[in-house]
Amino acid sequence: MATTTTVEQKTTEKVIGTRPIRHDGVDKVTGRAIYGADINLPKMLHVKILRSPHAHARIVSIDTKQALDIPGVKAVITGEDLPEPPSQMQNLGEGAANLRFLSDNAMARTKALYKGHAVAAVAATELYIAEEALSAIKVTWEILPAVLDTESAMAEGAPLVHDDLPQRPMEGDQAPPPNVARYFRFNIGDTQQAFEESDTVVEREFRTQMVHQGYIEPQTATALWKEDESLTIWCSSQGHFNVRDQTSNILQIPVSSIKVIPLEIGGGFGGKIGSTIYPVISLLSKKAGVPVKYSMTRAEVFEGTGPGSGTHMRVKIGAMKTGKITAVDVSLSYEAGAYPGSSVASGCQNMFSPYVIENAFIEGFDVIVNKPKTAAYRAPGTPQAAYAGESIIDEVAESIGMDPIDFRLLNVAEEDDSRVDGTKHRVIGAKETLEAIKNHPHYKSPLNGPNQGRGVAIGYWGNAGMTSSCSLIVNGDGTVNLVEGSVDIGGTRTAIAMHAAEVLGIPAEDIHPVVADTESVGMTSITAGSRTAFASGWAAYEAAQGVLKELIERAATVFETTPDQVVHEDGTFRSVSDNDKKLTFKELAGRLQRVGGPVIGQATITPRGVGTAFGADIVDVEVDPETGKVQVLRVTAAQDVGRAIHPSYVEGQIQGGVAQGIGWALNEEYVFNDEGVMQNPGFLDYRMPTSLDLPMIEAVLVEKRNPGHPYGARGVGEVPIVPVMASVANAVYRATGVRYQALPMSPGNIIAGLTQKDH
Amino acid sequence: MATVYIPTLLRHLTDGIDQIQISGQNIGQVIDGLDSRYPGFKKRLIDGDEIHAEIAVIIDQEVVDRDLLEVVHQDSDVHFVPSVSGGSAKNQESFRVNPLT
Repeated sequence: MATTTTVEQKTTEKVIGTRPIRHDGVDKVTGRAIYGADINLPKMLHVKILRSPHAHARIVSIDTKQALDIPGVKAVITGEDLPEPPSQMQNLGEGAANLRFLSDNAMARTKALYKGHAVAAVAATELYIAEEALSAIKVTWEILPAVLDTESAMAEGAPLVHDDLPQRPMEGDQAPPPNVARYFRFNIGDTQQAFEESDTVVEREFRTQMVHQGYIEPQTATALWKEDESLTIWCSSQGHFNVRDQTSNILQIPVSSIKVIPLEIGGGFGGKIGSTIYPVISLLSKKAGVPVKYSMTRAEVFEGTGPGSGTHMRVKIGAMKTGKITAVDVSLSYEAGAYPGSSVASGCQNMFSPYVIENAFIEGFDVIVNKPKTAAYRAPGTPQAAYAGESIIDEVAESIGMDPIDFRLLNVAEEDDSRVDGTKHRVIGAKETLEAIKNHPHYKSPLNGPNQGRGVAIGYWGNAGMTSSCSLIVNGDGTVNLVEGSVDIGGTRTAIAMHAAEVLGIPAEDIHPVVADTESVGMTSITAGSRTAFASGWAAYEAAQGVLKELIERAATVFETTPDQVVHEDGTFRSVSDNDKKLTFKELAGRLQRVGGPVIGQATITPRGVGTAFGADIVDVEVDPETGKVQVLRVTAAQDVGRAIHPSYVEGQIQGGVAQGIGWALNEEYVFNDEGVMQNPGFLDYRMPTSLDLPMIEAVLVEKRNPGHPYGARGVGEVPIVPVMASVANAVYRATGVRYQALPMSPGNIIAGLTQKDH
Repeated sequence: MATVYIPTLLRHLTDGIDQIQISGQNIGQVIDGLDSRYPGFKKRLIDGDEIHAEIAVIIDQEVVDRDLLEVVHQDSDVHFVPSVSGGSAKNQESFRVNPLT
């Protein structure tokens, strides 16, 4: 169920805004689509990886001889087999990372920094032989004390995860706390004075746990290193050019020697942007001389890939009785995992971006702990901060007796308002998104029983542009081959094709999109940052403009006139001076061979004009006071989408984001024991919501066009998760009277809160 | 001249000044101008021949490439903010510190 609210008048687009069937649909529903694990090559070996059983331990020695002696074992590598890369930053698309740390995370050299850190890998003729070989590898460990959360990691005298890293002052002469890799601060106005003048001031602490993106397809890849030193990798990733460049840099081999073939992807959500497995399997293939394939188990996915950060957040906010926010004072500490690079910076920048805040002090700590290195997870770093920010906003609104949406509307940011980092909003739809939920029948409807509550929240995400490439080839039958470099997540093939179809005046079904390998299309950035339909769609738009220009010239030749005497309307080329001279797109395509040969168009763009996005939710819950179970009864999620290129896919993104946010709010968490060992590395115990746990999620598309895109599109994939945890928490508060300041609000934690309230 | 907004943690280099007018036709020239008036900016903002990977440059509300040749207009607003997420800096010395410090 979905509704669309158009803020501005619709234009006359014929393809944009419609709902064609996705081009990859038949292959996906019949099981013919090729995913990473479907690759099987002659003489292919199978890989298993030996992982650290300790959260923090020095590798005294590794003996692989016995493993190599097992029949069927063809290659074994350890960290010593990886070249020592330079300490140099690599841009991963959504952020950057140091190559030395990427390499060390692929395989530990001197110390294992988290439970699950790879220390050796085996390639064998059968999977069970590779598994047997792991137990024959003898590792001598010196177990070290571990730090497992930001508070203990930053405590005076805490064990250092990286003991060879020099201290530098954080500011002035102030030394940073232990294990702090980065420190940020945004400071505007005079918070102290603003708090003194406020009618109400609320200060709270919030905590969230490490969570996983929960993509259904485990990370998997196949590599073949040939005798001519060329390397081919088949993989499911969020960006095959990223895989190529990262592998090139870590293994220090030319980028031109690597070809990466993208396969279908079974979910990523940021977790498949970077990966540690490609250099490992590439080296095994080099040693063995045959292709090798590796597929993670679910436990390895949890323990050996990059989850989202656990956090500790302190938030103080002041307001006047009128509802005007006066100041915020925030300290965010995010777990980076074993290497620097959490998303705390975006938490700092985004948490109050829906509002006009004149006085703000917001600081962020990127904290190294003995857990898996964190990765991007859908609007990285922002849902946690929004949970804290929107929970306390809700509390302040209640304390001054204002409706929570009215309070937000009173403070909402509009065009040219500044964010806390000093930058200004452009054309945005925050106000319209809040109005959409305020005016929705859901908000006016009554709750139907005891222990029920309704919560609202809003969230912001900045979206991205990056680089995209696209080629179009007109076929003789009037169809068009579209070659693009964006891995298809959520139907982007079709959304991209629709851009070209709109320009050319033909149905989207007549465009045949192909996601091409790194040798067959221009460099294209990752599918992330909610950028793909926006940027790769725009590349298709530009390529189609080139095709159209050439087709007009060809039509002019046929019409025996000049190009300026030819017009193109609704897929038909017509002579201005002679109405009888006209050709449909198909007819012209069929004559191209006789008037100059095939027509192709191509474009590579790094677009500006990225439109930021806002999402706002209404959530109804019912809490069982006996069991602590929270049942989500109804969700309405409104989002400023600019222009929905394919509304069904936009609705799908909103519903998916809400579903993930509900899981994060209510159940999902990495549970570690005191030794840093994850206790729930499987979907039975790491409880993600299923369709049975969720109501129908109603998406409301608020179309306030982004003037920076040819059709007004904004990125839509990430922002829907941002407000969810807060809106659920605010609903749970109204159902129970307890403001839960830690996630997840799982049954045990709900009961604990109710018990504490009763005493 | 372009208006450069100084990040909070670099204002110690400018004696607390948060906005500075700098002339320059591209971001490299602007940073050169900034550094000549307030030494220390170049080291913190530039890594080799491009903007540091942990820093996003925003010119007139657009996140731009890290290339130093990115065009800056006479009336442009220039911001330096942390990139979305990130790792560490290029060398050991700067590992522990945000370059915007």
